[in-house]
Amino acid sequence: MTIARQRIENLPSLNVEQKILVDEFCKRFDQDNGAAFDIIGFEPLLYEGAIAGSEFLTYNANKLYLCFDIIVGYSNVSSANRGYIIFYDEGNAINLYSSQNSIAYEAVAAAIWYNKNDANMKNLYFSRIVNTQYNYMKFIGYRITY
Amino acid sequence: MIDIRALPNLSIEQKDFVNRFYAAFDYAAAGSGLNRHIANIEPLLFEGAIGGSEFVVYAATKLYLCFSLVTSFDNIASIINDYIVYYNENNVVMLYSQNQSITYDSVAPAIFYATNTLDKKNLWFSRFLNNKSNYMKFIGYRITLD
Repeated sequence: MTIARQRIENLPSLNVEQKILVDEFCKRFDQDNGAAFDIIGFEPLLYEGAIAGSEFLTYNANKLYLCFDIIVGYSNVSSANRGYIIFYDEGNAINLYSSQNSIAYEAVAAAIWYNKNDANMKNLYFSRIVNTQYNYMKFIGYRITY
Repeated sequence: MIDIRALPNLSIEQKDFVNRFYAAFDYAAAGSGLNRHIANIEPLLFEGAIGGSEFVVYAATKLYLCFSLVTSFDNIASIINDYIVYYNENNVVMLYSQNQSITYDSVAPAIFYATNTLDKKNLWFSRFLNNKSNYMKFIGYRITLD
């Protein structure tokens, strides 16, 4: 067991949902096999700002985010484009979506318009996100290297 | 085997939930065949596609003790209403969940449903049925009865 894993598993004040997330995450990504699956880095991370250009968009086979809270927001008016966030797993495959749109039919444009409300996800892990429409975010969690 | 009732940091809602779960499913003798004895408890973290996952399959000896279940959809609004149906230990419907925005599309013409992300906390079920949402995150326990 790596020191980083011990630090993660011994975090105080985890609720029961977070404890399962952390324990299962560590089982999966810290197997003491000396190969690719040993957690070697564990950095607390708070981010509030633009999604574009941020580290969360970039896939790296040795990087994961252990996320306690991610919120994405949109800066502009409704449009014909649906808003959503895609979460990718350790193999860069799609894991999960998050969306929270309100819709209306716009008669002049003859199209459904989407109002992108805040989308929020708690207690998950991912390697990267893809944002459609959403352009600002808040993240609380850890950057894990393994 | 862990005793979920003894987990630290259960909220008052989770404490009540877990205690009532044990009262309902852990009172018969081991191996009675009544499926009213907890034979095994496994922590479970799942992020990925609903299709083909274990959560859509019924087994009389399997229940999920769920602290968090998030479901999401990867596509645009359509005329299909989205909902999740939860089944009880006897494979009978016991709960629905949905979170949508709707509009009337006069070109189609039909009511269109935008499927937003759903988050259900602190419940048990034997399986669920997804009508449209196709990705999910689960945090909780897989319970085996005997």
